[in-house]
Amino acid sequence: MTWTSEALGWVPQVLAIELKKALTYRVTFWIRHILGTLTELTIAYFLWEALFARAPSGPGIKTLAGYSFHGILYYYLFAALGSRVVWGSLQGSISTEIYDGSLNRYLLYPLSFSGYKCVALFAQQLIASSQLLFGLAVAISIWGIPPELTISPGGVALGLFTAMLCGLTLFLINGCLELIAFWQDTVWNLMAMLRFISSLLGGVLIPLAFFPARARQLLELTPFPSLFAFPIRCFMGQVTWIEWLRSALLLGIWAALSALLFSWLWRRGTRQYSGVGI
Amino acid sequence: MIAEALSTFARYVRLYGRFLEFSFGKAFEFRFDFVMRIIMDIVYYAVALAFFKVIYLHTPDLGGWDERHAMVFVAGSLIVDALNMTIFSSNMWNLPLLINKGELDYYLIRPVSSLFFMSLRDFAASSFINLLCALGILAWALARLPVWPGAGRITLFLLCLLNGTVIFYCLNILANMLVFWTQGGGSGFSEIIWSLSKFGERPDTIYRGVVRSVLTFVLPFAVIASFPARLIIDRGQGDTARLLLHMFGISILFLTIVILTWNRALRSYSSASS
Repeated sequence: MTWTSEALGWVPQVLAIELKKALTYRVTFWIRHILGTLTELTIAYFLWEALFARAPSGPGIKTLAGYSFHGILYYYLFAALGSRVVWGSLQGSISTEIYDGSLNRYLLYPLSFSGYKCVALFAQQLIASSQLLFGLAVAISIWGIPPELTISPGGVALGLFTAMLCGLTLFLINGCLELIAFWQDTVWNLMAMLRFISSLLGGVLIPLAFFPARARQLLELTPFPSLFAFPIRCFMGQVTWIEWLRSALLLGIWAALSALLFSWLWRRGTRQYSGVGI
Repeated sequence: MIAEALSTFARYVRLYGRFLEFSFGKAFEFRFDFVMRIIMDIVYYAVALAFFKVIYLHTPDLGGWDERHAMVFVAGSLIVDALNMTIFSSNMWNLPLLINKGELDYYLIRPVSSLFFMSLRDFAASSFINLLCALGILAWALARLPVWPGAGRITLFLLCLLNGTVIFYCLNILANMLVFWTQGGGSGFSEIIWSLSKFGERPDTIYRGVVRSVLTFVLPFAVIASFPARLIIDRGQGDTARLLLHMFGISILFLTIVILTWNRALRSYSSASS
């Protein structure tokens, strides 16, 4: 068999399995998604309503750091839904498989562990993307599109593509933390820290435009703006092609560094791994 | 009757002492986890403080509270979080698994209240260290206030934060008890509560209308840290009695609902052990 037909063989099957797994508990799945998104948007609505009430008035629409009130609501919509495309639902899966021994099957299967995980991530990103499109359709039907924003099908498609690339990079960064499970009894703290830090420094909690200029410059040295703020700005049509290429290059550098570390940790870890059963 | 009640109370206090002994011993066996939990919570606290610091770069007040007042509120919510993580969270995370696997028997056959045993068995020693950090943040926030609130009001504030922790515990366990009937969903219901708890991480003064009513009576997340903070920030302003009645009334009501629901839920439980 050629490499192409081997790849074509297992990828659709893995994709189908992962899609089925993600939708096993359908009611809980949709309650969590809808409730989570509504919670974040409701909090953002009241928080920013209070902030805009105190913002100085002037000619035209009231803005804060370049965002109008409706612009900020769309920002938080894309932050809530776009970050789910970036994260997927794989966080914790690698360390769990190391601890309970189910990593064995990947060592026995005639396919690469990271390849399997990438396809699994893609399956989850497909579901998260459909949730984003659904949420966006609802938001547009309620709020319309503010004139100061450029939300277009092309921009949304670019945003989804960018979010998926960011997701791959984040999977590698998170994976490096999870592979510490080969040597330590528990690593969930490290993943929780990554979530907290990335939510603030990636612009999910509050747009980076609100940070002081010096802080924004320092943040450029970290991967977080590229992982979250970058796809959000793509969704909102705020990125030029030059900016997209620059951010994609930064993302690529972080992905390459993480992949190298992931690969090294994997080799060292599997050498001393012992699992019981299949 | 009073003697019997006191004797039962003393028995439960001794039992809780055993829980603490066991939990501290277990915590020091997993030193990496112990240290990482402390660092994780410090990162969480830093993010919470940084969020409001950034917000207040762009406004003099939020819902009538200036930055110094908001930091008292943030410190209060961090204390509630630390108390919850220390006393209840490990137990709550395990509950859905125990129900689904039918392994709750260990708690049901003991000659003590199964709800007490289930809710308080594990004490997270590392989160206790973070409680001290959160109290330090509160001391810093109080020192920055233009008027010192006084020892009495601070004590009342801390008692109300304890009360807020009980309210959060009630909401969490009520959500997790749904697993008795759905027999699926695992930690999904806990995640829903964690998601909704974000409402309590912002001052209640920003909410209005139906949302405010829900957050102060039905899903009282606004009562957990924001109402206690008002005792310090607004210094009651004549409303102290009403606020206290509301806060403690909610906790008594929800505790009663928890006890009744737990007893009802156990009737739906089926064991998987021999």
